Amino acid sequence: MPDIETTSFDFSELLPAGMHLCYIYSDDAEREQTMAAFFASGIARGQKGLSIVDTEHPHDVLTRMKDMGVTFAEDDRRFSTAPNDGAYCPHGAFSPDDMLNGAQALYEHARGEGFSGLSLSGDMSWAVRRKIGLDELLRYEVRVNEFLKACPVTAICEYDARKFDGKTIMDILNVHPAMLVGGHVVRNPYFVRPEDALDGGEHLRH
Amino acid sequence: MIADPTPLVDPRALGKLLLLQTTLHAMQTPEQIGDFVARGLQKLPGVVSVTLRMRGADGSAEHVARGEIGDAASARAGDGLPLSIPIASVRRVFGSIELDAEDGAAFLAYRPFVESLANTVALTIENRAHERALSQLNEGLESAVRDRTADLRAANENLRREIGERKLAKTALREGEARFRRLVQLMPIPLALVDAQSEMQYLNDRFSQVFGYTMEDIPTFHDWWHRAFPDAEYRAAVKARFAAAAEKAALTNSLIRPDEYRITCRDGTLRDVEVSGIGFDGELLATFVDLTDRKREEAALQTLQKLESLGTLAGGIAHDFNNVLTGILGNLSMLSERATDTGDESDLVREAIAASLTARGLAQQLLTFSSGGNPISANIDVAPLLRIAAGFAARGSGARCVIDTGDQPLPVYADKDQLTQIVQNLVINASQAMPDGGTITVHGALVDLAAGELPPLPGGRYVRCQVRDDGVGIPEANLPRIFDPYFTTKSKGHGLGLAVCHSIVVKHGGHIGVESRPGAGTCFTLHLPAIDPSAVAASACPAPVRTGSGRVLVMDDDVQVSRVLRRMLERLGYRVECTADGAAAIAAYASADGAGDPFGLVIMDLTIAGGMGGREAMTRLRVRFPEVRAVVSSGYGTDPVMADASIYGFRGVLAKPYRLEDVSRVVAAVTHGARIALGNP
Repeated sequence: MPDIETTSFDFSELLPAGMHLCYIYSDDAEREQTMAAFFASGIARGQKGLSIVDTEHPHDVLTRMKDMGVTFAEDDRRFSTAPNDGAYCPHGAFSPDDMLNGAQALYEHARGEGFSGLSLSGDMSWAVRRKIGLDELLRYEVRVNEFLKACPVTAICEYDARKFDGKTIMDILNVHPAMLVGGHVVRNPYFVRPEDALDGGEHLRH
Repeated sequence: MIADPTPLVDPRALGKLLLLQTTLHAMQTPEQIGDFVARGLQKLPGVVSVTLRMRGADGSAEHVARGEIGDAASARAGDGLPLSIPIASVRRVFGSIELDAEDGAAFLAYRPFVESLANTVALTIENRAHERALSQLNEGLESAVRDRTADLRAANENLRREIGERKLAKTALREGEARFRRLVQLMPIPLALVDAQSEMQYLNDRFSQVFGYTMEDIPTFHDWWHRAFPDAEYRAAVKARFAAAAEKAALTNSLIRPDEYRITCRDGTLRDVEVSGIGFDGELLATFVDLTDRKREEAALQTLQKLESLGTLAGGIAHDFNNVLTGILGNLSMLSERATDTGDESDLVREAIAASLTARGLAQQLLTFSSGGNPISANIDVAPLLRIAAGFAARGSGARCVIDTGDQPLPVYADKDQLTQIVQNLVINASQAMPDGGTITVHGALVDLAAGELPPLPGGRYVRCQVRDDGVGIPEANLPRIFDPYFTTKSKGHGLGLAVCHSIVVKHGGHIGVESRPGAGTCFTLHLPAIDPSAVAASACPAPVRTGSGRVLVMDDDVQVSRVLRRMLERLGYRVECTADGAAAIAAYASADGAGDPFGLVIMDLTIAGGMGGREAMTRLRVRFPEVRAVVSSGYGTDPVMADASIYGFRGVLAKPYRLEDVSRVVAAVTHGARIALGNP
């Protein structure tokens, strides 16, 4: 039996809290539909949603969420957006600590507000723009795995295949325990131990 | 022990192959796919090395992707049985996957999955190529659409601008047309536009003002001909002339030559009009220049010129006539002094004097007619003047003249001859207004006018004279113009009679008005300021002939006049010396003064043919002898010097012809003495 588990594309089934998913995409429309479904599912389960976006305008994200049937009050706190440069590089340089501390604070705050948890997505295009080394990126993703064990945020890392080369994508796959592929959440057969995953060290290439 | 010929497939490896296959859809370029797949296959169990050799769908250079990772992989070695799996679609081979495993035989179990992966790789590359082609096609289409849209937008913009410009042009044209139409409408020349079907298309305001016709009156050219030229014979002649002119104009492509026609207006009046025109696009634009007033003015000017020359002639005749009369009247008056009060001789002399005085009046009228000069006013009673002048003017006409002046005098300070002329003009007009006979009523009375009762006259006492007839009357429309110079409704009138009357009355500080109703007659009323009746009564008494003594210098170029004046003066007791012109008179005056026997009075003729007249001589005499006493005498009784003699230094006026008593009165008035002593007696 293949070591692959799937769940439905619309995330109607429970995603395990603390799951770290990798989403490789090249179709914007498909991505928008996928991410809207992801947040709609989380909100339906009482979670708070945070989308860390690259160049999108927060208003456009909210509009799409509404198009998906998720309605928001004017002062609704169930969903928000944040720019990825501010989240990953709050002081101008990539800072995994700041990012993860921020995620933890958000999670705790959400819980304090009465939410059941936090659904978090992060567009990783900033890494190409900022020429982040593959090794540094892989180490961050490995740390995320460890972080999520203590802070069970449901997280999706979004990688635009139009911006990363083939080798990088494969190495990124190695550090994500689950993936969104073809509309399915699958357990990642390429997932390897952290020490094996950090064997590369190449720089990201566009 | 027999080895199992079918190696087992590791489910985890199978999962990787499936994940590779399903993730390929996100990959973009052959290089990316090659690197991704090579690296993914490298992680399959037992794989030593993987090499993908690939070309793009466009036949680009071969890309070689290797799956080795670091030294650990390169340290291993395959079993010498590498797999080579083509990357191909049904249409094209893109390359191959070359895979070396530690145990080639065992790896064969994965071959179908790797082949499936290779097919997916081929399909992905092919799809991407199609997508790029489609994208380029779309971009081309979009570019074409953009270009076309831009062209359309530019065309629309041009169209919008053109529409805007046309709107502006249309507005400008409409405004221009309106302005032009307004201009034509306001043109001071009558215009008419006739179309090719002889339908009247347009008449401007001036046309209707001049001729009275509107579009409703003359909807066609035919109607115009019949209304404007009701006489069939004249109409035929006019149409023939106009047609000939139009034909000639058409042949020469020029204006229809102006021609003069007499047009009957809507109210029946006739107007002399110069008609010209121009044909264009089958239509005719006709212009009408109204010559009526101009011709009337020209005729009036001719009349005036005739009158002026006639007046000059009449004045000359009257002057000479007065000189002749002076000889007759002067001698008769002296003869009358000698004749007994009874007897035939005395009657004969009186009748001769009366006839001479009548002749003097006629000469005066000639002078008034010739010059219209300033009045030579005196205190007179208008009552006898009315009786005499009206009776004289009505004589010979078919009308009966009834004169009522009451019992009291009607005193005015006026020029008797000019008033006579007024009365005679009004009476003659009245008689002409009654060609079949009727009654002319002349009425004179003293009236009191309140201030503002008859502007512009101030309040006061006036002599009112009325001349009334029961004739045809004057149309109401003509009344405002009745005193205008040259206005006349008579076929032979020159239009000056009433104008002269008006002028004379105004110069006397009076007023003349008219009331009339067609068919009921006309009444002219004039008001003249009245004076104290006693002044008239005193002047009416014949002054006695008063004698005197001293020397009188007479200056006149007419020997007969000089002779009779010498006789009269000598009869009155004076010593007389006569000269023929001003220069001689000045010399004689100076000589006498130098000799200590000066002249006490100089009587000078105003006009000396070819020599110095009385006016210049008086001017020179006054320079040397400021106290000179002089009387001006002339047959030109209306000359300004005669009217205002004191301005020129003269102390009296002696109008020719004169009688002995006239000379006596004037000399006495000038010398202020009961017994006159002029110079040395």
